[in-house]
Amino acid sequence: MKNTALLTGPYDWGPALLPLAEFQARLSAARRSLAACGATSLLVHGNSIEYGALAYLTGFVPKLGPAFALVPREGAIRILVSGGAGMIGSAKLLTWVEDVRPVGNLRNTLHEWLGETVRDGKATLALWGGNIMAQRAYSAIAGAIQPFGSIIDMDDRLDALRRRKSLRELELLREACRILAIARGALERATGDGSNARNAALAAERAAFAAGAQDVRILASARNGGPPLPFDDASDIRVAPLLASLGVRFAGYWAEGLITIGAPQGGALARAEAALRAMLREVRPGATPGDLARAAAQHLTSYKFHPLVETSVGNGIGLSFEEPPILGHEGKTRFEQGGVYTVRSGAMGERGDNAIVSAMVAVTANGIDILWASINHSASKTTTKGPR
Amino acid sequence: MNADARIDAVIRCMSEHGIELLIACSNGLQMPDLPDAVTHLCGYRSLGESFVLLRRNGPAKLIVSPAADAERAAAWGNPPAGIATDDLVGALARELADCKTVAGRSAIVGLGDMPHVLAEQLLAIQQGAILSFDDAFYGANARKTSAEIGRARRAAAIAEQGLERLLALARPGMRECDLAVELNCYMKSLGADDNFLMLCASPHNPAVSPSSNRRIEQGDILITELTPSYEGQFVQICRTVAIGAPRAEVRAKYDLVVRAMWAGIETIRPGIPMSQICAAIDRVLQAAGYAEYCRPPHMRRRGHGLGCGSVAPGDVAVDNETVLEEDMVFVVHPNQYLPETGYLMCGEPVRVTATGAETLSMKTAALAIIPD
Repeated sequence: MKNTALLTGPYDWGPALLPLAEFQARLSAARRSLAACGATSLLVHGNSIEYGALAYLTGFVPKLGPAFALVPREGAIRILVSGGAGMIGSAKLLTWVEDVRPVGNLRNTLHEWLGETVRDGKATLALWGGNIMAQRAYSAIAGAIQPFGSIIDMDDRLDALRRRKSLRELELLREACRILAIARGALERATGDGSNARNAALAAERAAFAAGAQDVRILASARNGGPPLPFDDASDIRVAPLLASLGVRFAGYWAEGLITIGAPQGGALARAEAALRAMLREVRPGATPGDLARAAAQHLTSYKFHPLVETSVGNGIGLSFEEPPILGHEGKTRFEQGGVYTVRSGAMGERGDNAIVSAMVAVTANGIDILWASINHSASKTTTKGPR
Repeated sequence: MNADARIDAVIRCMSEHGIELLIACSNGLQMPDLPDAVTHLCGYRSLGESFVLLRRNGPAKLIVSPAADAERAAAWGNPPAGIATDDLVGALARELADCKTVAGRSAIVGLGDMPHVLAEQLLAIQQGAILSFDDAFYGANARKTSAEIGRARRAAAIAEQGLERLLALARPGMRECDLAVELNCYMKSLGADDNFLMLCASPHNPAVSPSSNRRIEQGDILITELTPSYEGQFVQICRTVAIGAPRAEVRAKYDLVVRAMWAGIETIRPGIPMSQICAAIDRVLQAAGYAEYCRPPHMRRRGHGLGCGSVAPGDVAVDNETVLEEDMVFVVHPNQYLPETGYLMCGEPVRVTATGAETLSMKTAALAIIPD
């Protein structure tokens, strides 16, 4: 996915989208994890590229530079945001948290907060979203905590809270998928009407925004059957087959779709679609990515895995475009009930005979609920053989 | 100047500092006012993190992530022999092992903006013996290339067309974010590949902010910075639009801010420090009784360099002593909060010429009005 310099869509938080009670439950769960690890405080980091952890707890999506949520074991959360004091009013619209302040000097600001919130002058600061934090910011945090204690990384433990989606989250993901379907339809129609790749992608983007998307990211082939790429220049050419990757965000939640337009019949697209159907039949609680990869391989015959799916069959998706688990072909991770995943398939032949397709699925007790798929599927609910 | 001359200048700088190997880093987030060492060296705009390894006596190499960007990286051509990988650290370790650089003879640019886990791994590979080289690297050649200047002109034209579109569309009742999204799409249709588009409206703006869900109202002052990127070169224009007939005071204060901007632009010539531009702007506002508003927290900078790549000559600020050179490109924007009107925005992108400044925008800032 191509990063963007500034997010411009509708990001203001409102309880109608995601109620306060949902955030309070998340916060309680996070605090239980803190207590279990002996952490006294939590710092959650996000930036405009990756903000899943921060948005999960606070709803806040950083549009300008990094932002940090400071979470004591008890008491009110504070959010530190990039930008000056004059921007705080607009930043407050993005979250339910009332205490929103400029970061200022991160080291000093954090040192001051720790002094206010920790007992006995001792702290163990848990970090969430720390792996993607810039080195400069991490050094500032390490400097601030040094007089109080130490830092512990809680990404794995706290990311686990995000894996199982709530009913409300599922509704938001369904809405994101509904918009994804609209974008896909617009892309196909524009292409069918003779638009070249760039203009067709723009038509899809406009359609998605008109349907309520917060953000839309589209990559498309720059040559016949080429991999999906960003539009680096103003050239607009007609390509067939056109392989596209569509990302649509609604209320913070991403939907992803891989599609192939204008592929010859009976070639890579037929293989990729057959492989995806076979993969979807395998998805259930306890299934492994290897199960899916093996099922897919049986349908590729003389074709290879497309490079986009060469090493993984997909990943978790939600507030992050790519969230754990990453479903590597050889990985030991297992599909979990309550998880939402993007499952990808692709076939690579010769002379541009390439295709990619995908599906978004919610794993249920004994099968899957298909939230979106680039292939025809007879019913939205698929029940498989039962959990492994 | 062309891209090869830039690389030659960096290599000369490495030589002067006894550096044999330079690691230029990118975190994959291209921004108008933040530098990107990889883009500066070769124009490539990363999707994920990436590096250019630049040897003083040997070929340069581009290492990018993710692996899925292999075709795009290979097509970039300069430096050739790019590696696209999902294991950046492993690829880098292998390349550095091949380099056999003498300890203490390697340098790095952009480490502070890299994800800290990756940064720590990188430092571990070098066993901490690596020189931070950011200032020397960007100082070695701060001018834009002819190609970058051409892109800046195109980006400026797109920004101005974006403004025309804004004036055609902005109406009371429209959400700020919907207007911003439409402008973004429109400028993309003109060839922009990204946009740092700030836009907000209020009867009294405390500052410019990213657009919110708020609906524009009659009597608002809409302020915006339109910052499209064309083939990786950002340019910015800053504008103010009255929604309905503005008060006389708004007109008068806007004229003041525009006058301050021109005082700054007219100061520009090779050989002067950036601080003089800021001082010239400040003088106009101080003379009008706004000295207090020329300092923090009301004022931090009155413009900035334009990336991505290098953002030299840096901020238009009283403490920036960077000396101007021909073909530097930056935006001059007084963008001033005034107690009577709130925040007002005007700003033009400029190129330093042999004798002064060329404004890249064709139609410069004037208070625009959406009629009642």
